Amino acid sequence: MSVRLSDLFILYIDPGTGSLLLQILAGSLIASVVFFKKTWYAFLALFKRKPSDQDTKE
Amino acid sequence: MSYQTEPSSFRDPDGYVFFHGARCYRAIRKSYATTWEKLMQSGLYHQLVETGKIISVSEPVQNLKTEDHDELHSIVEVPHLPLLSYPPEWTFRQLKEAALLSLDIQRESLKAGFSLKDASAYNVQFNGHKALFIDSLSFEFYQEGRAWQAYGQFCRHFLAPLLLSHYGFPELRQLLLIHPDGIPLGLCSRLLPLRSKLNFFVATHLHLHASMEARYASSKPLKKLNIKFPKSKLLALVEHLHMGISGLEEKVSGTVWKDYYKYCSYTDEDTKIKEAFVKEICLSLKGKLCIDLGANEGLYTQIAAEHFSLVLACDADALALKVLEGKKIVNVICLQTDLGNPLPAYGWNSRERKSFIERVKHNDLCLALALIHHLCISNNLPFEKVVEFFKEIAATLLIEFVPREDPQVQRLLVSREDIFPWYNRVNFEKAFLRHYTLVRKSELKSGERVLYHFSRNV
Repeated sequence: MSVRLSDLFILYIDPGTGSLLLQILAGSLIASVVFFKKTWYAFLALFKRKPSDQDTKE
Repeated sequence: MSYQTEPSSFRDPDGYVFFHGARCYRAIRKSYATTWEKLMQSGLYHQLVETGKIISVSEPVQNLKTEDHDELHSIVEVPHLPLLSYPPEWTFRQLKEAALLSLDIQRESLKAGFSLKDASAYNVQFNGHKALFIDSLSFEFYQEGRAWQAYGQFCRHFLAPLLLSHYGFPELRQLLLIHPDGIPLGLCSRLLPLRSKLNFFVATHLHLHASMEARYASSKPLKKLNIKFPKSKLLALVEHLHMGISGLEEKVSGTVWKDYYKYCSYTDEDTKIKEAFVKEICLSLKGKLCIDLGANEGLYTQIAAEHFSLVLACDADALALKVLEGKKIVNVICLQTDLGNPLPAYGWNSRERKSFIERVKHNDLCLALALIHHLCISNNLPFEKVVEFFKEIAATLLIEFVPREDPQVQRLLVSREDIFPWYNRVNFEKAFLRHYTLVRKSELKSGERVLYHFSRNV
C-alpha cells in the first residue's frame, strides 16, 4: 500500500517533513542494522554458558 | 463540588483530564470514541496496565455531568498521582526509563494495530521508582504504509537530552526547560562532539535527522509522493532507538564530586540519634507524602519510605541521586533539584506546568536535614528568607541546624569572606518560631547540631 505524505499533515502534532523523510530514506538501512545486530546477539548467545542443573540446585 | 481542568490538558482535541474533589478523571470526546472502544476491545490497554506500563482506567463513570457533557463519549476515573515531576528535573535514569517505556508501548501498539500519536516526555510520570505512561489517549489506529509521526518529537524530548548527558553535558538537560517541546535537534547536533558523527545511531537519528529537518523546514508539504513505509521498517526503527538508548550512560565528571563524601562530621552515636529521631516522627505521622530536601544518598529517605506511601528525594547532586536510585526503593521518586533555584511554573500562560513549590506543598512531612548551611551560606539566604520558603511548603518540618563551627560549614567558608555574623542557633530559632511552634528538639552529642520538629502556626 502506498501513502501520500500530504495526508499526514492534518495531525495532532506537526510530524515535520524532515522527520518523515528520514524514516523513509534511512528505514531500509536501519532495518538491516537491526537485523544484523539481532542475528549477531543470537549467535553470541549460543556460546554463553547456560546455568546447569547443578547451578540451579546449589 | 466544581470540576477543575488540569491546566496542562488542552493540546489533545480528543479529551482532557479534570479533578472533582480529590478524584481525577479523564474525559473522552466523541471524536475519539471509535479509537477508544477498539483500544479497550483489543486488549492492548489492559495488557499494558497489567505489566505496570500505563495508568489504569476505570469503567465509564455515569454520575458526573460536566458542562460539555453532550460532546463527550465517556468519562473514566484514573488514579490521582500525589506528585507530578517534569523532565527538566528528572535524573538521567528517569529520562532513559521514560524513553524506553515510550518505545516499549509504541512496539506493543504497532503489534496490536495502533501507534502512538505523540511521544512527549510529559506523557510519562513517576509514581515511585518506576516510570508510568499516563496519557491514555495517545493511541491512534496504525495506518499501513505510514511513518511514525511522533518520531521527531521523540528525538527532541528524549534522544537529544540523553545524548547530551552521554557525551558529557548532563547539565544541558536543563535545556528542556526553555524548550518545553524538546531540545531542537539542530542545537543538539551543534553541541555534540565531532566524534559523535562516527556513531551510526547518533549520526542517523540526530545529525542526519537535524539536517533533514533544517532542509525541509520551510518546504511546503510534499504532494503526490507515493512512498511505502512498511510496518516491518517502522518496528525496526523503534527497535533501533531502543537498542541505541539502552546503551547510553551518563557521564558525570569525577573531579566535581570526588571530595564530596570525604567530609562527614557525624559520629556513629550522632547518626543513631538522628535516625531514631526521624524514625519516631515518621512513625507518629505516617501518611501519603514525605519530601526529603537535600536527601543526599537517601539514608533518611529510606527510613521515611517505610512509613509514607511516597517519598520525594531532592538533591542537586547527580551522583548522590544515582546511589539512591541504585537502591531501587519502589516508593521513592528522586528529583535533581537545586533548591536555590527550584523549577518555576512554565509553559503556556506560565500555568501549563506548575512550579516545584506548587507541586510539593501538599505533603505530610518535610525533612531538611543538613541543608540549612547550604541554603544560608552557599546561597546567601538570611534565615527569614529560608523560613519564608519552608512555611509555604512544610506544615510539619523536621529541620537540622548545623552550627558555624561544624567542619561542613567551615568548608563552605574556606574560600570566601565570612559575611554571616548572624548565622547562629539563637537567630535560627527566633526566625522559625515566628511562624512555627516547636514540638520537640534533640541535640546531637558530638557537636552543636540540633534537630527540630516544627509545626506551622495556623
